[in-house]
Amino acid sequence: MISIINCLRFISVGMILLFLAACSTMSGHATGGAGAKTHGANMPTQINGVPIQDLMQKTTFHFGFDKDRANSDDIAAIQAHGIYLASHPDATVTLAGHTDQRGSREYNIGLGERRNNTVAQILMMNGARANQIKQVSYGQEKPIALGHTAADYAKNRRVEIRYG
Amino acid sequence: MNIPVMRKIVSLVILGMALLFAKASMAALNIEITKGARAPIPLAVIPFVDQKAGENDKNNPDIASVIYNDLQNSGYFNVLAFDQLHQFPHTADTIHQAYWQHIGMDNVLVGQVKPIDSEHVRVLVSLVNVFHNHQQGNGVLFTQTFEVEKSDLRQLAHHISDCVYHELIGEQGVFSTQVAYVLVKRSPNNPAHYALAVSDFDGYHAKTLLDSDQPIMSPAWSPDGKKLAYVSFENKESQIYIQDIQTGQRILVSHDEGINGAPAFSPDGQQLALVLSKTGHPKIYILNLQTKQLRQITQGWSIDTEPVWARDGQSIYFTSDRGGAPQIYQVDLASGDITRITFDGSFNARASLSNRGDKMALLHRDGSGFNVAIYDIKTGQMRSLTDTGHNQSPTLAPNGHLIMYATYFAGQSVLAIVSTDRSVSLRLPAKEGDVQEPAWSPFLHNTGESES
Repeated sequence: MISIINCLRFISVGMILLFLAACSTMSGHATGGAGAKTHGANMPTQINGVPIQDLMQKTTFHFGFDKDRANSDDIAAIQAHGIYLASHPDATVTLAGHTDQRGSREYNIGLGERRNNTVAQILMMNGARANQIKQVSYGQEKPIALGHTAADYAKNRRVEIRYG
Repeated sequence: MNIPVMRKIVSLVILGMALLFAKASMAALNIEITKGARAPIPLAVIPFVDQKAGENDKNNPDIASVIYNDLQNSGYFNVLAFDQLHQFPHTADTIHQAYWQHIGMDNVLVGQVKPIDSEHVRVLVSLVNVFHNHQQGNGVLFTQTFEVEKSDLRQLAHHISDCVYHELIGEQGVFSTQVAYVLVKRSPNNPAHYALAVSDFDGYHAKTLLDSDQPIMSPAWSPDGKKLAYVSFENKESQIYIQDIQTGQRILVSHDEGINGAPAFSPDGQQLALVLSKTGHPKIYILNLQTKQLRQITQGWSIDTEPVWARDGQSIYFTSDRGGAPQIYQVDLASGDITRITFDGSFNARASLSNRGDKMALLHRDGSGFNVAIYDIKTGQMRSLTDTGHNQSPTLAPNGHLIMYATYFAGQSVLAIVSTDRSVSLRLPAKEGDVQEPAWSPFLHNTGESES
């Protein structure tokens, strides 16, 4: 009985890995081809015609409820930060993950971390190294909108990137 | 006078008294008593001689008023309003039993406060049932004498409430318990300020344990009531401390990479369950507080959090989304086997287990949002106790009858109490700031009084 369960575990883990690998090649890439390896002179200077420097102005990325997929209009900005980190190996960032004020607080800490992980993955797919990225999840503990409307909740579901 | 009319008058008087108290003290109670299924026990509490009802001097609290609030708000008693009193006995043998029988007051509590010296008083108290059987004695349920410091009078009043509750209900009261909580002060142009505090269950005697400009979370009591474990972000990441409530001294017990969260003392106080995400996902661990040995209890890619020890210390309940959305699971510590516990509803989290281990308070999502529910572990019955939909952090009282939780009221996060049979529902007074994450203490062993 136990060995069958182990087999099933392996199979399911394998399937999840395949699924994630497939996902990672689909998400995080705007058309225009921000590549996974960027160094020095070959670093892209724009994504979809928007300069990297402009995209990097955005330092807060938002998420749908109970989701850890970044909103599509934030993906290019995250890629831009990844490209910058790739070509500035001494630069470091801290990602702060947040949720809205619903649900249970410790579960929200876990949710904030998942959102951080999503952003970190996109950064690394664009050339950032893991040791350039620090993560802290604040769950719901640091809201920027204190009300209880859907709009307030949406503002709080975010990851903030900060340099240094 | 029939009971419903009397209850209405009593509630109006309570509201009036609550307003009076609100001026004089920090912790008057705002009361909404809903209709109860249970017939409340009638009781008259007579102001103790040498004390007047309504006077609330911080140095000499009115014992009868403290007892009145305790017992009336428990939902199990119908305590006669002070302005309905026309007789004022002070000892058991000066109680005119026919009078109290006539007005339907089965039980009468009387007492006296006599000075011993400038710091100490002697307090005598008797509880009498006026419908006693003549053959069984004079109806005195208990008579006690206490010698206390004047500064401990409030604590003594709570103890007397416990005695009355135990005598008439047959179970232990929670009037001498405490609550730990987090207070957050926000102002538009200043960073938020966080404080971890402990107070009496009714909000009095608040004492701050930690002030911080970073979040504080998840206070958890040690079984002996002497220490609190909590999560602090003071070093810009989540870390777990254990702090002695009396001395204020604390030690840092967990600061691994990633999440350090949801500390919970084992029933013998020797171990701490906690959440670490150093494997890449939040998992349940057990830390031996003596040897510092760390043991991983759950695996996988889910969020596992909010561990709660079973009373025998052999298993741990926890919140996990391994099934897709948060539900309560139980892991057997010897075998590692995991069983799903909750199936009712799309979200169940933040379990708080009764002392008997037969039921848990939960955060439960239903049609109206996130509500407090009580879940019977044996029958699987789930019952929502709130309906406002904006609730968090339920914590069960150690006698299993009351649940304290955080809720939003008038734009603020405040604490509220609901009984597990829903007959009592009340809000604790709002403080300056948002009050969140209540944690009800275990039964505490009070020192400093002598009984005879």
